[in-house]
Amino acid sequence: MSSLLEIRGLVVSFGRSFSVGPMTLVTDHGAIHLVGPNGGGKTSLLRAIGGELRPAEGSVRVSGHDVQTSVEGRRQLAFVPSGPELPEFLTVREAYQFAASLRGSPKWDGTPYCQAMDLEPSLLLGHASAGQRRKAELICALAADPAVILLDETFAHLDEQSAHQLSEWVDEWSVTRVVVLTHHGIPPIHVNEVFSVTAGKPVVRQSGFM
Amino acid sequence: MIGLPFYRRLVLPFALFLFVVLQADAIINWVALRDQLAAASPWHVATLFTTLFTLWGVIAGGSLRPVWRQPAIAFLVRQPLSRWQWVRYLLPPLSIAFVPVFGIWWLAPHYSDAPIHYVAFVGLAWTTILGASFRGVAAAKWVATGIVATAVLILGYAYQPAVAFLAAIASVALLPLSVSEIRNQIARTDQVGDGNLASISPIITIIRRDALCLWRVERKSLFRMIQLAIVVALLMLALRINGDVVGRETFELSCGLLSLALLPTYDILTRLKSQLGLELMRRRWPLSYRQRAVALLGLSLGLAAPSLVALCLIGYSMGAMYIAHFMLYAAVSLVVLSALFSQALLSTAVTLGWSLWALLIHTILAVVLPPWTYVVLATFLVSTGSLFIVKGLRKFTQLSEIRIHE
Repeated sequence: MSSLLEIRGLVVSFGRSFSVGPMTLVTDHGAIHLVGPNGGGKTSLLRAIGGELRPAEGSVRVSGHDVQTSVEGRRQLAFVPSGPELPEFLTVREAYQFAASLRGSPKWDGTPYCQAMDLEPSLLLGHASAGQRRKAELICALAADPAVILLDETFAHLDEQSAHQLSEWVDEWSVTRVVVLTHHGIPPIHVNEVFSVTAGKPVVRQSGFM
Repeated sequence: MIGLPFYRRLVLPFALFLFVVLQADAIINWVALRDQLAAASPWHVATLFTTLFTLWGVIAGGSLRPVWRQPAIAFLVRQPLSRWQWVRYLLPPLSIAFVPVFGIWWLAPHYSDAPIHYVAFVGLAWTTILGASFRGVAAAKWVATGIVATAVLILGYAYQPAVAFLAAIASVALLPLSVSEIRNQIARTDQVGDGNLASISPIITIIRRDALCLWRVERKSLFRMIQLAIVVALLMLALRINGDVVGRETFELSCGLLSLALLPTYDILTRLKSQLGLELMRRRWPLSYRQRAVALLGLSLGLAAPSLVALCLIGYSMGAMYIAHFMLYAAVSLVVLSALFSQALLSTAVTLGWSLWALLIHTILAVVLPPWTYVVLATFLVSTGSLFIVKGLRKFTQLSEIRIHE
């Protein structure tokens, strides 16, 4: 039986100028916190785990499916970037419908999440503030209830109430799913494992965590 | 941001107003008219001036309406501005709309000092102008308020000059009340028509998303495609009526006209690329390159559909065999066009010239080759073109990796 998330010997590099890894992690659930200095490679690692970047070495599997080659693997995975990436011409509802349909659950309804985040589903993303766009990206990531959620700069741009709501959700998800996140400082959530990420060095599990 | 677009739209109404005044000037003695109005019954005066104020208010308000719908001012909704701040910022740039009202009100009988006479009643026009710039119930509400206030106060002014002070108070009081609606008018631009992107097929979802992008951002280009389809259809019709073309000639003409109609398709796809950027195709999406390629072909077909359908309907006299031949030609053209587009995804230069040559050569081959030879060529072009589309999309996502890192 394969684990929910299997990262084995993952190395990300851009020519000779930048490299991070290897990273190895096999888990079925929990909140994984990547820590490290700016430019250390946290975002690059997250993007490689999410299938956006091709790793120089190693592999990432979700429920046994390689995310680089398998559509099924990527279907169970969601990535929330640190900056806005959703097209401005879409409304929040259209954006999450798009994400849910690509993941094979077109009937997924994001309205409860919008209500919890105090976000109007008919809001055009081009007219949304940075915080509202961040909320929209989060809701799109939740579309179709993916098994692995990758959150870059988890609490960036969020107001206090929304950050609190997200903390509650992450605690809830980490019981049955895998949440890999980056956050500068101590995140207001229960973290199961912490990995130290520094450019040019292996990704190591910090002591104090199993 | 608000004043300049308003002035641009006000040029025509102002020109119209001046034209009417100049024409009337040739036949009307203004001083005598003013005396006549002073002697007229208060009901007549109130009706006349309320009508003139409302007419101008509706025209000026109509020029102001598109200003609230500009995406550039949407951010104002989120600003913590009080009603009086809205008035303070809006009144100076919009006050140009009062100039004709000043002119009209000069004709009215003066029962009070000129400053009070003007400020009180000209100020009342604000409510009508602003109301006419709104939409729906808000427009009806504020225009009605403006009309009733103007009519009642002008009537009262004819009986009691002190009513001018009441009109001044009403003008000032209505300013902040009417501006409070502007926030809702601007906010409405956030709520565009709901495009449903939910579909069991990711290919249909992608096509819908791309079409929505074109509809919301490149609507003019889409209308141009429909205009072109009408032109192509009319040309075909004219050639059929005057040239008595049938069979193979109709097929050849249809191919030539479709190749012309397909060129803007390439241009629109290029615009789509610049709008979507990396969102055209992301590696992390649970979508294969083949599915994205099919979606791209589907969108191209949708863009070419108006011309294609028009040519098939008007050129039905070519016969079933030639219609099938023509459909094959159209399919190959779309694959070739999409393949060229996907290869051009990596460069920023517009490669319209290549697509023009490719379409031209393909059209010549479709026309000169015997049907079965063309079928062999078409099979080759479709399979090779499809491979190139997938390859181009794959290269595009590889380029995205570099951009993400940068």
